[in-house]
Amino acid sequence: MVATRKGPPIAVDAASCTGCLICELRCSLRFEKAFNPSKSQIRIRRLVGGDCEYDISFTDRCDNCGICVRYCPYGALIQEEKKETA
Amino acid sequence: MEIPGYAGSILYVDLTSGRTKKEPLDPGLARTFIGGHGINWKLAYDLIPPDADPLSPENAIIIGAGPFSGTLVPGAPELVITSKLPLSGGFGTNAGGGHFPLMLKSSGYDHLVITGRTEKPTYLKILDDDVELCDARDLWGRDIFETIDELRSQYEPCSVIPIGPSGEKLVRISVTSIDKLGTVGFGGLPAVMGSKNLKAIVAVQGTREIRVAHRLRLLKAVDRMLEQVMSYRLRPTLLEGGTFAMSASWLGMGGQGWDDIHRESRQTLACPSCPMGDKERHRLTEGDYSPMVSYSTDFMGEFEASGKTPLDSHNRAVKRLDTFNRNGICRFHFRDALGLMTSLYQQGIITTEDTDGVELKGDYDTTLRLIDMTARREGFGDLLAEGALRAARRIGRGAEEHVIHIKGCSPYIDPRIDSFNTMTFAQLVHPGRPHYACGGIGIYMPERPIDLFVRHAGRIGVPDEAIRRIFGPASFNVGRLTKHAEDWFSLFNCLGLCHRVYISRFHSIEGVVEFYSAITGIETTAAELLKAAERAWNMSRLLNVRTGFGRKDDTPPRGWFTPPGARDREYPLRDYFGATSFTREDVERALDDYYDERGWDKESGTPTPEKLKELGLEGCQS
Repeated sequence: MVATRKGPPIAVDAASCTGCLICELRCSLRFEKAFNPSKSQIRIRRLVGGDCEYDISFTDRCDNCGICVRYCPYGALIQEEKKETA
Repeated sequence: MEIPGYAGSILYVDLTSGRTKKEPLDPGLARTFIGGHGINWKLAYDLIPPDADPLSPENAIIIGAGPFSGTLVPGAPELVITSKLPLSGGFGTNAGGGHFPLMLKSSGYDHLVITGRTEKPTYLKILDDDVELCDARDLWGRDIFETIDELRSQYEPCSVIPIGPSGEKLVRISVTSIDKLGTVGFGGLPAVMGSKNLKAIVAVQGTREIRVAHRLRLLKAVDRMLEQVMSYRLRPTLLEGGTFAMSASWLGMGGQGWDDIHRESRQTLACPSCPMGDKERHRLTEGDYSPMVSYSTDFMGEFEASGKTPLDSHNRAVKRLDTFNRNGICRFHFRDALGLMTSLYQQGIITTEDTDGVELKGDYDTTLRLIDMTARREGFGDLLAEGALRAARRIGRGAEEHVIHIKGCSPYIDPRIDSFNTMTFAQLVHPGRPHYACGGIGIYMPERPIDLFVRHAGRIGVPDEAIRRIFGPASFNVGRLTKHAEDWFSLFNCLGLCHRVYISRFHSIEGVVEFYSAITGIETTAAELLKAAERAWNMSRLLNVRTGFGRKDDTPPRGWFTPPGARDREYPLRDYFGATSFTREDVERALDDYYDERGWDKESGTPTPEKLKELGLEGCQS
């Protein structure tokens, strides 16, 4: 099921992703009230042999709440004109 | 009843029989030893015979996460591995960053205990209750990065603790890398894995959730710390230039003409939950050894000037680190062993007959070649693989007199250069092997004002009466202060926090207490947590005393009193402030003070019955 969007789309700068997984941890805490990256709606996956170390994607359940953007310490997630905080 | 923050189980794997066992984590054990190396030490005390050969099936590899692992506490990726180590013959805990604690807990385990030995090369895969010993014959012989890549291609998202050629060949100066991020295994842990035919341990992302007692309270504490971290004035320096730039910044050292090249070719990587990423991916696109992609846990001290251009010199430094990391060779121990052999060679004590024809000129290409040979125990590399002390003993001819070692291991830091401070002193008294992170306590830069240390001591929970005992108007007692610095970092090892100064500098005992209570729901105090950390440290001492270690092994190397090139007189070490000379007698007094502060017998270096009773360890015998 595709989630109702709470905010504008989230853009990614995969080259700035360090793999700290803070976004996944924070997202899983929001959705499941517990920590487990597999329960996160943002997905950080390692790439082998590419220009970037990590790939960033979102599941259909992601509602663009922007909490991952707020917690990313490395500027790898960008959300313009955010009007609402989840 | 399970305590929030913990996964709730310990996994036992016997490689000999192939049997696995999942046992609930005893909440009493978690409250007494917290987790991480605290519980590891208790398990090691119960499971590993004191006289076990480190490379025998009787030895165990005990892996621990902490209650902070897998949560949002900033800088909580630390994995601790406890085993009897082949370089010193003592029990040691290695700590390194990476995704392993997070992944292990996501399958439901706080600790993993591996014993026995398999008949053929094997890797251990863990995914929830699916625990499998898999055929690793195709992986045997592959280097550390290749092994990680291959296992990632099958199991990503996962975390991998592999061994390279050095572990397979039982090299005593071997180390390894968790996920190409944190270095772990100082003292030869990979050789222990190799002796068990264990090529790798793979923790696949499981389905178990880590719940905490007070979610909003935790978030408030996390937000508070993140705010401090994000406004740290040197954070941009770390993220742009890595550990190389940080060391240059702190120590006032310039680069080597390749700062910009380094900055352009690197990308910051971070361990889980860390906003101060200090790991690196290097991507060389031109110059010597390009194209190449490599990884390193830090780049401090990697100076090189042998290239024709600054770009080539930089690339050569990356290539050398890559060669260490792929093979799994401890660069500190290797440099010490090779430095010794080169010195003996120059003095004519050894010749090319001893080195299988290798001329020891200290040049770059020979170094690179010898790292490979050491990892495979080929020719002269077989001697270097034993570490400086054993190599010198094998050579004879008085070579041992030239070795500077503590418990058979190379010290990280030379107090003749770095002054006699808690970092250098901690190397002497660390049970089982030298280590220095425990003695950090902010003394990473020379000659800082005393007020800074008094403030720092308060921040890490040193009691007021101890502060009065330790600090004078313009001095501090190295031995006594080291005890408290060790307890602080012992607490880190119990909780799963990273030692590295870039992130550890933001933690305080009040902050740690708040994180602990928010996660576990156990309202505690600074004194209680630090007592548990002290208990863990005493367990590590008990294990090593039981194995035969004591004060006799904590004595300073003779070489510390001899300046390079002048072996005929005692050299006065400097105290931290560089003002007062430090003699052998001063070091002995520092040892007396350290044991006194610890509540250990000054003659033997053994925890006294009174101390054991105070810590609730009276049933444990040394």
